[in-house]
Amino acid sequence: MTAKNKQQPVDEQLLLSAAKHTLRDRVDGLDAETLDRLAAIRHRAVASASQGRAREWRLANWLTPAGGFVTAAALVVAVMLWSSTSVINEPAPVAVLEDIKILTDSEDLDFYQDLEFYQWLAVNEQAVS
Amino acid sequence: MTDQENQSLNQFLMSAERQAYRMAFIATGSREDALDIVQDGMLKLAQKYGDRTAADWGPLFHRIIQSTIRDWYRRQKVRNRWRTWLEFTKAGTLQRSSKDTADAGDESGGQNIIDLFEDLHAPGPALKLVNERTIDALEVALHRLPLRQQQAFLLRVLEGLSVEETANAMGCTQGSVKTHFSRAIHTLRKQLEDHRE
Repeated sequence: MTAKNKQQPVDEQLLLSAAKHTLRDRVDGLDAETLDRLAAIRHRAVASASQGRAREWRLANWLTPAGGFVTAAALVVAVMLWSSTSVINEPAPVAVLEDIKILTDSEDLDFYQDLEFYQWLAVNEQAVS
Repeated sequence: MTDQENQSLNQFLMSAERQAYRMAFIATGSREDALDIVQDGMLKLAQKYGDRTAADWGPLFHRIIQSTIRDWYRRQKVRNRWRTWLEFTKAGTLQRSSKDTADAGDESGGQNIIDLFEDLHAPGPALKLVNERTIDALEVALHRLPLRQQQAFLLRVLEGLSVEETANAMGCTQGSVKTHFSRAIHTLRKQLEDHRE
């Protein structure tokens, strides 16, 4: 270890000590105007803490019923949307097998329109016979 | 908040305000900017964390002040780029005119470009005392440190925080704090040696 290296930690300690002293002196020696302004800022900050709490409390009081109303409104909207989408999403009428049979059949369309009557007639004829 | 809580918050802020101001002043070099930073820090602490315990306020206040200083520094960086460019232009004009004056035999001469840059970074009124008192030289040297080095140094030396507390206040790792602190000492030593010469 060289003499210079041995000296380094001492220099560092001196520097730190001088810096600490200087900075503390400056902190303690702040001018009156700066101190007054710092005090004014502090008073404003402390006052704002109380106001902040009060504001939060008022907001919470307002939000609780408002929250209930919003939930109810959201539920109503959700139900409406669900019911409307269920109508909208209903599949468009398509020709089922039976319809295709009717459409392609050579029988007269009137026959199918009176089909219920023929069925009733058949049942009654069987009953009579 | 109750009156007692208000009182304890007031007590805490009173105990911390001078050091916070000093740190902000060293970082900004301006009383108005330093007071703005302290104001933002105090308001934020009071409004957001006023309901915390007194033990929490110290670390929170350090952290808020340091991040407010960083925000200020970022904004200034952009502004300074323009200012430096403008000063460069102005300095070029001044240099030319002072050269003309010197050529004309005026011994008062003019500031060179390096001096003009030092003016930009020196802390206002204290500038005139730079070469008269070592105490000012140290403060100027601190002011010229890169922000992270300056923060690490001031939190460790002025506030007396541990490496862990400093890391928490600066929002970085303990390793980074050690590096910034060590570099700060190296830079300060060098700058003060240069000043002595």
